[in-house]
Amino acid sequence: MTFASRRTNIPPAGDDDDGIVRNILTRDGYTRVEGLAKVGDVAVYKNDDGKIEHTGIVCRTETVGAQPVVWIWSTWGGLGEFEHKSGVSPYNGEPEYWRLNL
Amino acid sequence: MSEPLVTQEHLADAAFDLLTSSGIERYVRMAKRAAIRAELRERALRDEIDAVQMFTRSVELWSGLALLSSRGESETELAILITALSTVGPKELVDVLLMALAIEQRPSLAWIAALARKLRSERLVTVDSAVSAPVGACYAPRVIAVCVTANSSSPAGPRTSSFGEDLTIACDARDEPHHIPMAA
Repeated sequence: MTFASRRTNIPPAGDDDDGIVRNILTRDGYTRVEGLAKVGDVAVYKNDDGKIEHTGIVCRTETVGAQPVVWIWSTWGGLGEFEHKSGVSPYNGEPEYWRLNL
Repeated sequence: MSEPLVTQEHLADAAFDLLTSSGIERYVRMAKRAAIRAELRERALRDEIDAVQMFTRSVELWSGLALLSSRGESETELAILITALSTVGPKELVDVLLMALAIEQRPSLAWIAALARKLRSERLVTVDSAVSAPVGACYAPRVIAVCVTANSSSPAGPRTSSFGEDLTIACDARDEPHHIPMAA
């Protein structure tokens, strides 16, 4: 969903996330966001070994008190698409954010 | 269709973990975690279930999934079973099963096929390591046999190894029908 607008699975079923997603981020010129995430940024979840195992798109941001809250839209494997807070998902903790610089 | 070998509670947890995986590395990790939680290895070692039962159930689930056009709920139990079998099952049986699953091309079995390929490659590495190990349990009977042959010129006396160890018990045990232990 993140990179192919639902036209196909990236990675294909049964393949690994890390290689192909890392390749897309590099070749398409994404850069890591150090500050606050913005709508349209790619959220990248990594496992404890630092390998990419899930991605999503930042669909909205809000502030609760002084705390920024980032909402992600992503496909949870075969379960379907979910909108969720960045830290509330089956994946590992908080994601990194990557931005396409056009 | 036989009874499930994994409880509904474990299946529910595992289904969520497996179905939310978008890459094979996470899928394999979740399958291993689910197999540990289901305690299939421990149950097999306690003889509550046996590898043939797990194998038979796996083939049933595989046949059922093969009829579907997309992923089905029995994928979860099949993933757990083959993951457990890869650690406790008899080598020949497991190798045949994993190899057959690994070349499956039906969409309903895409993830199971990928899991089987990963498990199979891990087993190949493990077997290679075991073979290259200088001292292994599988070599023990041959070592004993060589030592006994060396001492066979004195049949009436106690059988001893070249290091002077008493081999009588070991040799007697070797002559008995023996259970082939499951892979470590």
